[in-house]
Amino acid sequence: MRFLVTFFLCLAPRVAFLDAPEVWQFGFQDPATPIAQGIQDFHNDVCFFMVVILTFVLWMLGRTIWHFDAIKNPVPSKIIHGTVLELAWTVTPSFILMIIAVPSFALLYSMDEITDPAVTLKVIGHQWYWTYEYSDYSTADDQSIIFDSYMVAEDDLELGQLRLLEVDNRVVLPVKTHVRVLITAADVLHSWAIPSLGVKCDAVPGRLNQTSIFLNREGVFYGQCSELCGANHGFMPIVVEGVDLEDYISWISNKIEEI
Amino acid sequence: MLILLTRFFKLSLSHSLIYNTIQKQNEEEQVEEEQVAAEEEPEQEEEASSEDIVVKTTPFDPRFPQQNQAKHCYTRYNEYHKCAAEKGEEECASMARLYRSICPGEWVEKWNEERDNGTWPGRY
Ligand SMILES: [Cu+2]
Repeated sequence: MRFLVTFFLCLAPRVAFLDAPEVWQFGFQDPATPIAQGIQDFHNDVCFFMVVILTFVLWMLGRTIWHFDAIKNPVPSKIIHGTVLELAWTVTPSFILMIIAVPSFALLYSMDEITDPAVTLKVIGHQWYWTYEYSDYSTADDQSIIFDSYMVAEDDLELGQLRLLEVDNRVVLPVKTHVRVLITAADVLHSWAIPSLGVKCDAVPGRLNQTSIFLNREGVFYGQCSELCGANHGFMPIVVEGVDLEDYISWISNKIEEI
Repeated sequence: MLILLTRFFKLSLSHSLIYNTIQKQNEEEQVEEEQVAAEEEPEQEEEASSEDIVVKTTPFDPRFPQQNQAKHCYTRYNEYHKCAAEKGEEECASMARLYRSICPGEWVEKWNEERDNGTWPGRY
């Protein structure tokens, strides 16, 4: 019995999640929010239809080419105007589109959903760095927790840090908590995007875009500016650290003391 | 066709599942929040220096269901100043938190400057 238990414990997955891009990566990063999970599931579901259609079309094409032969088939088919056939090949694709549209809209609207948030994070895009603000706990207009987040230059990287992805000040967010993210820019368009969180939101000057994040697990999530914003567009990455709610609170209180 | 149909049912099922989990997590999280608020109190006694932190923010406002929350921020800012003009700043401190949570610091700074200069177009 004990052997069996240890045996299965050894088999238990000990995984490290993929929360940053990998060399020669082909698939997605591991989802950390229900939305990211939904996006990836939807992608896989649509791929099912894609493969079915691709197979069918290739088969038709191949068959047509194969049988178009002056020796084997000297008399080509002269069928024109097949009402049933035309009806079928019009209705079937539209049916498939409708089948895809239902879950697509479900996902779209669940992304829009703002469930009563407990934390608000403000993100301001600058040329070329991100500024983060936490003002839920401030008692005056100049008492917010504000910090800039710059990329760590290649020469300053420590062993194990990711090139062009590491920043000096990370965003800290609690897990299992509804977080409202408000995104704007101070100069030109930017886009705040983190693949493993399923977030990509344009930062527009004068506009205050809202999205929400619900972290399912702890981790360090990497993203990049995703709207061409000038010379150093590629050098303003985003790092979100998902921590336990208690750790978040202690981080916040430390930050408040710093002010 | 049968495969497609089963696939379709699976699809709508999985996506309604996502929806449900979001809802469920919301309920769970609310319970958690209450716990945190309860846990925070004894801690506060231990460390008098650290302010008590209640994880709370400006709630969702059905007046502003849009993705663009700029009007939400602007309205909350004005509502605070209306309240402050009528009842006094101290009584409206909780309303100030509502706009501070969602307004970018730069915007508030600019508006405050305009108020100080007397160039603010609003009534309050
Ligand atoms: Cu940018």
